[in-house]
Amino acid sequence: MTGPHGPLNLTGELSLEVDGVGVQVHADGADVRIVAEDVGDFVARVREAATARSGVAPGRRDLGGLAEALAEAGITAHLASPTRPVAVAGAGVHSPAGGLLLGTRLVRPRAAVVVLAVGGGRRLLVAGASVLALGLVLARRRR
Amino acid sequence: MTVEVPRETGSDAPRATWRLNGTLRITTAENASRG
Repeated sequence: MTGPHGPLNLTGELSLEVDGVGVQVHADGADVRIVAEDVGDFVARVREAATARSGVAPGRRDLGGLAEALAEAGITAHLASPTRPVAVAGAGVHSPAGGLLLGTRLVRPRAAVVVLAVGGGRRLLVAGASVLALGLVLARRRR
Repeated sequence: MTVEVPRETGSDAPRATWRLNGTLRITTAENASRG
């Protein structure tokens, strides 16, 4: 499944520091890996930005839309802490657990997140993937 | 590059500081294969 312009290709290394919290983004072809020193804090900052932009906090529907956009672009996004994977979203992901917990099978929550999802861990996934959504939006505007 | 990102809605909203360093290149896969 790809978008109207075919699959996208991402390359590069990006270091972010969000209010002192370090985040590394590594992109190689169809795979993007986001590693945050403190995933929860980073996700909270991204959610704040998304909420400030739209006036509404992102939710399950936004997560599903984002995962679909990633899949259509042929991109697989991996969100992790320095010690463990948190979630995988986008192309090639088909997760019954994601469908049950997060409302989309295009996101595969890893073990740690399955527990958190019940008490608000969905926020982690929404915000973490939002960084990739920003990149995809920018890419579409440039075409 | 440093970007100040609003934490809330409104013109006087407090801001978070995002510092970015590096490169992220996004192309179509077709263009990437052309080099």
